[in-house]
Amino acid sequence: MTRLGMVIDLKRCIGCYGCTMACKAENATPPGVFWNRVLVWEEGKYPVARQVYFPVQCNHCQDAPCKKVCPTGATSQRPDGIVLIDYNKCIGCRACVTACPYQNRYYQRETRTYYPGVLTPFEEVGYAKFPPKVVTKCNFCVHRVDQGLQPACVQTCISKARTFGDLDNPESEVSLVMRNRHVFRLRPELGTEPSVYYLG
Amino acid sequence: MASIAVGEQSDNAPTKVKDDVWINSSCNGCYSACGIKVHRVNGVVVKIEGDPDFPHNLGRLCAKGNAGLIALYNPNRVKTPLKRTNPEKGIGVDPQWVEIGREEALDTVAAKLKETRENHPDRMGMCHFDTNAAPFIGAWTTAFGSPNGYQAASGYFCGAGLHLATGLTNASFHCQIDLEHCNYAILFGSQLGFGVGHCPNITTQEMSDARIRGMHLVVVDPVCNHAASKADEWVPIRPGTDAALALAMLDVMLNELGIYDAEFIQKLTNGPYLVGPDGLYIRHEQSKKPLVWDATAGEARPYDEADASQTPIMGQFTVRGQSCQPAFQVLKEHLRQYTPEKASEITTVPAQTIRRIAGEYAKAASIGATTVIKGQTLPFRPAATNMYRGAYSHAHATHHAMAVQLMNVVIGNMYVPGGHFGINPVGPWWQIEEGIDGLLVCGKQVQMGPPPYNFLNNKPEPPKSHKLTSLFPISFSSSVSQQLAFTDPEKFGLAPLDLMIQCRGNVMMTTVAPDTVAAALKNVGFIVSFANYLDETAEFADIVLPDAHYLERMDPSPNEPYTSQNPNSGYWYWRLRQPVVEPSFKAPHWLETLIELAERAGFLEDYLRVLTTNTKTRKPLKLDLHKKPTLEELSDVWLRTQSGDDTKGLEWFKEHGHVKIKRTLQEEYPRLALRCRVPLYYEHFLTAKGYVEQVAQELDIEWSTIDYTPLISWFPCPAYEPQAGGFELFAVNYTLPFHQYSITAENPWLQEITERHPYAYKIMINSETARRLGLQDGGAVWVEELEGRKVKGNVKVTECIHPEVVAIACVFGAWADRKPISRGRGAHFNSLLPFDLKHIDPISCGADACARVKVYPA
Amino acid sequence: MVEEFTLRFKAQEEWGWLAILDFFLAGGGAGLFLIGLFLEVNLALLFGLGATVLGALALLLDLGHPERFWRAISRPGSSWISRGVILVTVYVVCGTIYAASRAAGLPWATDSTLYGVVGAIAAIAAVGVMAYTGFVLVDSPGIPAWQSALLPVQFIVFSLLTGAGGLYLLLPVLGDAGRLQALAWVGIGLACGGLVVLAAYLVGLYSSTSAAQQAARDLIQGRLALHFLGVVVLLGLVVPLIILGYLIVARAQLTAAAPALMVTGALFIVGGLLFRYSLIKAGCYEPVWQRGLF
Repeated sequence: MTRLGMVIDLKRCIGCYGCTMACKAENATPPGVFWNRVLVWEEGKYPVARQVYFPVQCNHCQDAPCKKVCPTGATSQRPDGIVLIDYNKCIGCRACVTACPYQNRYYQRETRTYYPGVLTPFEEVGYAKFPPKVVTKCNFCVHRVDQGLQPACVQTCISKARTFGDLDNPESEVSLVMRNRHVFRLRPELGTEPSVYYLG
Repeated sequence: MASIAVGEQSDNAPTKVKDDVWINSSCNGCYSACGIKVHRVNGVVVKIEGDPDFPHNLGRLCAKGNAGLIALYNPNRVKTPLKRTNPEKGIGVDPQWVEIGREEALDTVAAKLKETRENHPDRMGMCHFDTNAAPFIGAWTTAFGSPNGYQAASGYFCGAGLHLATGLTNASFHCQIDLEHCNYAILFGSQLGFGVGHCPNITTQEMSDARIRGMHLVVVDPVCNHAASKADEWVPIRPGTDAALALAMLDVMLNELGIYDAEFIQKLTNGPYLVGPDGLYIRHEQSKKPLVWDATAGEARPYDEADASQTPIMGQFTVRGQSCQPAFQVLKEHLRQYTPEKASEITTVPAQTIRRIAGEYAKAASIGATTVIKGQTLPFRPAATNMYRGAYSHAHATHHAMAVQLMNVVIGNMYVPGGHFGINPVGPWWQIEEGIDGLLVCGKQVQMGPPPYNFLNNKPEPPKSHKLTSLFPISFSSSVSQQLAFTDPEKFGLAPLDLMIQCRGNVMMTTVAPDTVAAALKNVGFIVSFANYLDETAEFADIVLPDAHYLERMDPSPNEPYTSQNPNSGYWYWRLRQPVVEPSFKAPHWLETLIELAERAGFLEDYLRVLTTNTKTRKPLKLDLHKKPTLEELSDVWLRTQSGDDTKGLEWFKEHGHVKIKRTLQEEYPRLALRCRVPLYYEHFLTAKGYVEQVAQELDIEWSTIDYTPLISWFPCPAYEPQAGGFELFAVNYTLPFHQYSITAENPWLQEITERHPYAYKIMINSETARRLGLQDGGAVWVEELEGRKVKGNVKVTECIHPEVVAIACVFGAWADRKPISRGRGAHFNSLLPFDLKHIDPISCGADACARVKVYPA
Repeated sequence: MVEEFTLRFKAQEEWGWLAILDFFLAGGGAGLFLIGLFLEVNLALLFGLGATVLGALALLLDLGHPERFWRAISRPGSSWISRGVILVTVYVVCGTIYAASRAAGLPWATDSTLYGVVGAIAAIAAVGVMAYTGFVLVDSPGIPAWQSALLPVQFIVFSLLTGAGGLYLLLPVLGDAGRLQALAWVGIGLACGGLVVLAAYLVGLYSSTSAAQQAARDLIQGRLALHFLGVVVLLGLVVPLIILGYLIVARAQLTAAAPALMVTGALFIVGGLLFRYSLIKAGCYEPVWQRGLF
């Protein structure tokens, strides 16, 4: 079985927001919608202090709370693990937004534009794929993955912090980068079984 | 899409064509020019991706590169030529623009050009930071007859101090580390490998691999942002004291531990040159060559006549009755004053930390070790230091930069595996050359300013151009000197400019002290701005012409090999930037307009002739001097010449994107080509001192020459001096990997993440300091410098900053009306900086980017 | 203010006033229906059903795509919203048949088993309607303040309180003097129950994760203290207890007691509304990362 997943190496990540911007361009997410973000916070006390850069996105959980609460079946999961939203089935109840423990789902009441009052040609094309009043989130760039490409964030990452592939294949790149490293997932105690792994 | 609240279609909507293509081009999110593939669907750019085959970025792209496309469609771009109707100029003064036709605009400018060229061609200034078109713009200025072509608009973004230091020591424009092999790296005020600077994307990949491999990374910086946060160790330092730290580490290495590469110093530096009590070399009486002691012969001989392995670098000798010492011995003794204890008082870095890091660094250098690369034995020195703007943007920039460089020189890591690298001093058609006294100097192609030892052949006389070359005879950069000259031309015996052409660079925001820049711009008779936005500088223009976005441009030379290609990629590469969409608003590449203007003003043939004699091309360009070339034709000739393959012209590049050629081993490791010596003692500074003093005397101006000392030292910059009245903090500027210059702040995608970044638009202040000053996180404050310049912003209380420092990021805080995205967001750091001779490095003419400030609630 | 990309406690923002109104009206309506059934007050049945329908309308307005509302019944196997929609439908349909038949005096409403079964189904569904909103919240595992088994119980208790409040307000219409004491006792019982479940809930929050403690702080001393302590607890439970206690001790007569009872009813209703508001707004995500993970 193929189980698609992503590994993010936090030692490599430099917090440059390349992934966030690549995602925005690839998926034409409107203002305020970030399928891919990098959290920044700091740890320690001067002079032993540092900023922490922490990329987050949909974890494509194997036991996804968002899928469970969806009353319409708009949120579904493919056999390879990608959690998808059918915009035609979503009624915009947002139960999934609240249910996602990782806060990676977005609901926009109206589509705003980046230049107030102007719909740029890019947005005209991009927002056609992006109806308002439904819930959206990272889909692992499923349209790219199905063509054999890497998700946009993986492709662009300038510190090579991201790898994507089959978690079930022990020889895949994602499996290899996890060897001999401290591996963890977010909020494991919830039992959601995320498909995004972090290397500490 | 009925629910979208939209007032109007943006008026640069594409003409409807049905297509779906990926087009090879070149990014211009910064000057670095990564290889991109642009996805265009039915005439609309929908995605930009890196080209995986291009060695400059290997398919990867930073935030700026990914966000570039939304700026293409910015409705606030300048759409038509504009004419000023309000003769009064000033910050915030409405120029009262009226739209004019392109013909009228070009006629007006051509008439001005003609008039100026006939009367005083030297009174035309070309002000830009269009690095990717630089050879073509430079030739235009030269053909016009003006010496005032310069890249001022970089402002003090980049490094006068750095370029001078590397030019003298590694014969290149910049510095790098061989991250593939390095085991211990110290960055001084540098974000090398963290998404900014030279070749940022590939260097970030290399740095990331190095850190995973286990390279130890130390970052010396008052601010703990991207580099320091990912480092093994952050060493917070008081601003403007990096030289003191580096010199103390050198003292530990040379005098306490006795670790240095004696063989390298003996054979490939001026360490064995004998120095007399007056600080000058002991020279051969006839040949005037510096002497070294030849231990075998038991006498002093010219450096090139002695057996290098027998030339001591330490000791005391007598030549012609004069007592003298090898330069290295002099340096070593000089360093004794920089004990870790003393440096600790200056830098706030604990003495034990200085000793420990110096020891670790020296040990990691593995002096004496060798490695075999492709069958060739090379020294293996897997330790290096690197500096950038943070370290040397101070009044005594040269000494800061040189002190850091010296840490490389003494361990002999120049251009060897694991060590220090310049940017490509050796290439397919250029070499490291020999300057005076057996010292290295870069090839003429690599040289950006006048050759560093040139002044020795010139008569000390008042400056002839706004670059003030005779007052800064060794400097590589002229941005700051030109601002000096514009501000007060009479002082330097110069006339004010009659005409300025300005493009791609917002000097009002990116240079120091906008009030003084404004005064200087008001001195200029007539200003023509090519502009993307009606920015703070265009506000001073008399005519504005719309400029093309980089996705609308053709540039045959985005990756200049002498300054911009990654030295560690193993390749040479040439790529074409080609337009991905038709120019919006029919605004061509400004170079095309310049060529048209040259024709109208009657110097097109001169321009083409200068182009054909460009010394930086592989071979002379073959151009028809009597026919106005299109940009396509020019690009075609350039590409065929530079790529070295006459069969590969514009059409080939349009389809294939780039050529890449494997480097020879010597091009990869220029140490193999190093025949001349790296200076560690700067004897010629003493000559320069006398030279500059004479020029200053002739001009009858006050001019500091204390920096012209042959031994690298630490000098306190003005901000270092304690001040009364609550001015107890240092304000510094730092960069973020998702911004460059002032222009990215107007990109709404980048703006959106910047607004959500916990630090970017804020003023960073240490938690202890904030507590003491009664400042709350998020609270509004004024930051005010000694002369009363002040900026307002919101506080970010943090642990990630030195307690004596406040830090403001990037070039934010725009104020132009027609920049709605960036206006009023963040604080404008450069508005805090004073601009006067005290705040300029007298050697490199770098500007001081650090100020003494007080911070109080607004 | 835009929200920074950083790590901190973040209150949920998706569920706002329309959802709160739905939770309040649907649950309170079901409570009123049940009490009406129990005390055999037909008017209460009708008002209860009406309130629930209004609540459903609020929910419909809250949807991004109300025209697709019918899809919401697709996943009763996993989704409490699906289950809730079905429960509401069953309760409203059966309840309406039951109440309307009685109001219209239809013969089968007096002595048929089927009628009793319809009523029982409506009653069971009404209990479900009161409880399911609690289960909807429990289904958000990222919000520890909602990870309490007490949540459905609280929603049942406060639905009944709201229902009791509604009944008190109907008093002048009912004019039912004989059961005044009984009515007061029902209120006292429910209010005491409310105090007990809230106290137990708060104790639970304080002994849970940091985000739950944050929610408790918000409720007790923070941004929701006025709503929660001031309105829900003090005005919504303590003051009514005093009034009702006084009425019982003083053995007040209807004419004298009715205004007091109506005030109590209003307090129950306002308290019930603010209870939902406080609980939903207190929902605060546990930060995705905790110290020591790497």
